Amino acid sequence: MTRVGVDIGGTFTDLVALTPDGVLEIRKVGSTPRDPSLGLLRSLEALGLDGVDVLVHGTTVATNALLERRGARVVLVTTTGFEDLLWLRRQDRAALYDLAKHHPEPLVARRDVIGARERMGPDGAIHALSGSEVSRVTAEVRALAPESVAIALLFAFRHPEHERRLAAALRAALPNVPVTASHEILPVFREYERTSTTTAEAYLRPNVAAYLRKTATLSERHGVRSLRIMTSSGGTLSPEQAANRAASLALSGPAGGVVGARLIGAAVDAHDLLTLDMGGTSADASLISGGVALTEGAESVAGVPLALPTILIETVSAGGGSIASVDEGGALRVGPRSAGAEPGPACYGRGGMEPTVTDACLVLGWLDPQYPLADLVHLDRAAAERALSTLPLSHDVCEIGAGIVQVATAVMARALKRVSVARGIDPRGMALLPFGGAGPLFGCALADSLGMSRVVVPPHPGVLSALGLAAAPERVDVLASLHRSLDDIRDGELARAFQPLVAAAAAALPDAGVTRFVDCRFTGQGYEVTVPALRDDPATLAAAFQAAHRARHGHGDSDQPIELVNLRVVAERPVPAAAVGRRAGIGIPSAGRRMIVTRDGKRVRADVWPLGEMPPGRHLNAPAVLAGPDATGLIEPGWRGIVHASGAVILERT
Amino acid sequence: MRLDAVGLEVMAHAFASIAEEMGLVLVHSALSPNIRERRDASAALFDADGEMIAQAAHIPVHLGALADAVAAVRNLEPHPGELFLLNDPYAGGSHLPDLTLIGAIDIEGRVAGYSVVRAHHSDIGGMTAGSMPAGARELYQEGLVIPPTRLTPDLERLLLANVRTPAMRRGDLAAQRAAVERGASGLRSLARRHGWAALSDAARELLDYAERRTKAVLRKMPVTATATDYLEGDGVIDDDLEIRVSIAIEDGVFHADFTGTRDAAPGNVNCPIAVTRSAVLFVVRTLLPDDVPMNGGVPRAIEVTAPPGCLVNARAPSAVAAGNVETSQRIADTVFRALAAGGCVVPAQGQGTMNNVTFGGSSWTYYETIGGGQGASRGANGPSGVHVGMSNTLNTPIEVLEMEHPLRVRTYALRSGSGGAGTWDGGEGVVREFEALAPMETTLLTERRRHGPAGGAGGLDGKAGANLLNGQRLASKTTLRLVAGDILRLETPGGGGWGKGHES
Repeated sequence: MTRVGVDIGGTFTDLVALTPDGVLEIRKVGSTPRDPSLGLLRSLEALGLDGVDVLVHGTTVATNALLERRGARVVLVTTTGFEDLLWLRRQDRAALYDLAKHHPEPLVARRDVIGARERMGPDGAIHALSGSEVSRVTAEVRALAPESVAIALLFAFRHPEHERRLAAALRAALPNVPVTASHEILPVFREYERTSTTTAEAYLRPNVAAYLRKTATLSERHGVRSLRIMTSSGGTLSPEQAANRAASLALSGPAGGVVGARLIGAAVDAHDLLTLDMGGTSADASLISGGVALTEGAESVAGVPLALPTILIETVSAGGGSIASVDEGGALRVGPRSAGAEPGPACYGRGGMEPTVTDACLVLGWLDPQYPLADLVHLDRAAAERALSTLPLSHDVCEIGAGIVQVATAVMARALKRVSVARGIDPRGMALLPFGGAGPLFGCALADSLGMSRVVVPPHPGVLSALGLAAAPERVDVLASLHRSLDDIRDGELARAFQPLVAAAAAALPDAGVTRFVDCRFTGQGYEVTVPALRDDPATLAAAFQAAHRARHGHGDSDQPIELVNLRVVAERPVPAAAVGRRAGIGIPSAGRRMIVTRDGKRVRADVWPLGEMPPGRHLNAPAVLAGPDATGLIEPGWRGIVHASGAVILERT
Repeated sequence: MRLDAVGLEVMAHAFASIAEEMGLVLVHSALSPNIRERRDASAALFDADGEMIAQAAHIPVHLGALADAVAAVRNLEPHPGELFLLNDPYAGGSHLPDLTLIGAIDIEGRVAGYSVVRAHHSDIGGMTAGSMPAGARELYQEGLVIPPTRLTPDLERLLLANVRTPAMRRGDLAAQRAAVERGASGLRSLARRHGWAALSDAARELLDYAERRTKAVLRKMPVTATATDYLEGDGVIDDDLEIRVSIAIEDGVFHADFTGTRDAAPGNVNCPIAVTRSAVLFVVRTLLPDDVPMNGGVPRAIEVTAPPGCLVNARAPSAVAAGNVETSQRIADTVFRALAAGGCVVPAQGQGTMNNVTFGGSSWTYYETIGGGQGASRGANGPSGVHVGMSNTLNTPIEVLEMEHPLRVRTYALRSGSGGAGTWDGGEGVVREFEALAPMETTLLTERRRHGPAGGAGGLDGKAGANLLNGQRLASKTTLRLVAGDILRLETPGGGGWGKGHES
């Protein structure tokens, strides 16, 4: 069975194919931002294989529509008296000390919000929705000729009857316009976040659906038997399902990377991982605990609050293209400005003049100017030196370069801490898995600053996201609100409440393994802790919750009663483990030695090894450069490496 | 160790991430909506000398005033690992509902620093449910006064016996204690990695760096000016109460002298000097570039003086509940006004109030504040429906409020047309209308119900706010009894406009 993953980034479209004979095919083609499906098509043509069984696609269509505000014209229906919710947000200002700063505008225009005269309260209808009101609202919505409709009424997470009636009437009246109701998308409390998420779903649906239709047609024409779309939570959906879960594709791209990291971790027997994907403008940190990627509600994507389950991602502005500058107090800063892919770092020779992290790495000798980066970009060391020497720090460009990589390391370390330490998870016993083209250059430095003693450099760090897609399990998440005190749960009640969720998950993904979770909290708390519901007995759940709460928040012995808030069911069909090491389709760099400068400014002679091409068991002494066709890594003094059977290089302290 | 440019940035991130963790632990495990939903709380790390190293960016009025809390605890000669509680406004506190927990961080057997978490508890006893009374004349009426004290189980029992909602207080205190402990363990693990000596040197360097940055900005703006603004009564008397400030920025130091401000008021709009300093610090911080770390180096460039016993440097037992939330706003407004008088370009006035609303009965209390219009700036309209100045709390979701308390929200909307017009318009205020579903007590502590927020550079004033009970106007500061079916409506002020007329 051949599985293919295609990851579309800002600059490159990466393809990884897992073939039945265990060979990994890798293709990299230029992205086509105006019509991303063209890049996908070209990568499939470059692969040239007939008979792809499964193509898993990580798409930035939803992300970019949010970033560039290019979604549908939405009409939003709310409860009368609450039409301004999206503008009131949560009332906090955009910046504590910058009094002129505004929050990003909502995705809908104020004149396109319609209040429906109805009101649900905690215990049901306070003001019933009349038939004539349904007709009035329907007529008003139709008069606005929307491209998409969102309905978000107060308390619909608990009492969805009014939303259901409005949705039915609108769907009947506007058969060609997608209608999204909040209880279908996010049946949980907090009206602002639910309304914002529902509006985002409506905003994205037409674009996403059109793109998915086109992609489905293209891939079918190329002999792909099944197309799956990666979601923000790390699972995959059919194109038809994904079209009705558009907002859950907002982090489709980064999720593929985390899935790939999990796969490599499993191959080298490292089940507790911090992962760091270093791209051109930013770095994404995530966490895998016990072989499971941590999933949480994201706070927001591109300034739009989205409360959907998402693989935990903390993004910081430190990528290869991040620009270094010195502020008026004399501190060296990296980011948030970025040279991006165009013009790119100074060393790309495409007109960039400001010093970037990539320029620093080149000046330090970590990157090889003889060898084109990612097959397509040639590096100009003199241009990098010129850019670095504009910083008023030192006469020695290497010293400046070392400073830049140290600051970039500090910024990325903060993201790694937010996903670990800030959640009560001690990173010191975990392994760090850096990827992206430049990530493995920073593995040892990041491990040092978090007190970690193990780094796993994957065999093909630059296309790990595409590999993750190729190997992604099929996964469906189902969620329902069940707000009850744990003490009040009677025998068999929990099993009964889970039953329809389990059935829905099983129907969406036959033959999958089903895992049940509950979100619990101490009564009165506002945030939940998710724990597996292994059994239906409340005492077991209570103990699991208290232990998880203690680990996360430092205390767990409250005498407050414990309450259930949500039930979650995850259906997952894993993909058979694939050989991840052997590959074909791209060039092999040669070994050698060269002078490099370490991040503390020392000039040392380093071995150069071809990443992903070394025999298992080979020991690698520091300092060494791991040069791959799609990425570069570094073994710093104080560390040593050994090549694992999978092709990954495992670094440990000497 | 003299930190280079790189080390500075690295350590700033390290300290800031500890403060962020403290804030997360608090918010994610606290019980009361005021802390967990509205985030009326702040977390910070201090060094052994009592200067702030890092903060989680939450509430301006808390953060400027925390140094006085640490100073009060240092007077007790803390031992490593001890935990202190205080709320006494005249010994490190702000107003009584703000309970401040301070841990003396033990590193190698010494007090290496302080982990501090201040949170607004929605009851601390006193004459009205929610402990934000209107009309209090003495501190003792506002609740239980806790001087800096070692937090023991006995003290906690005493505290819980004096409040209307002991279970919620116990839960919030547990979350607060866990957050303090997270701060301490964060600093300890940082010390393990870098060594304690290097770490404390780094902290000192960071403070010096922030001081350098602050003074560099202030040196470029030599200003001498005086300004006056007014509070609208204090819940006891209805007069306008004068606040006067003379500012002088000299050689990179911002002097603010409040001589000429009226004596302490009979009601509870008085401020301890810590709150006054914090309002001046807020104004200075808005003048600095965004990336200056907010730590104890910034206040080194600020000197605040005020005659003892005046409204903004009150003496015990003057009542203070509204001073922290309302007078702090007006002090910031007055200092901004002095900057404008001295020729600086500053934003027009924002709503200048937090619109404090408290509901409660014998066994429940609920507290919230409501956003309004931000003043316009040169080049930007004022944001609408946000907290301005010394507050930055979130709202309580309507669905949370109604599930937990006998209240219904009838309207929550922007107050269209309330922002002052100008070249750049002031932000709009907010309308929030509550219906009581049971008999209860309510207290309003609000401002700018008489004088709208002033426009800047010829822009028009924002509309003054209004408080209405069943359509009838109420005083700006009042305590009332409601019966089921009563409708309380708050219309919050719009921000002032900036500049004359519209630019084409």
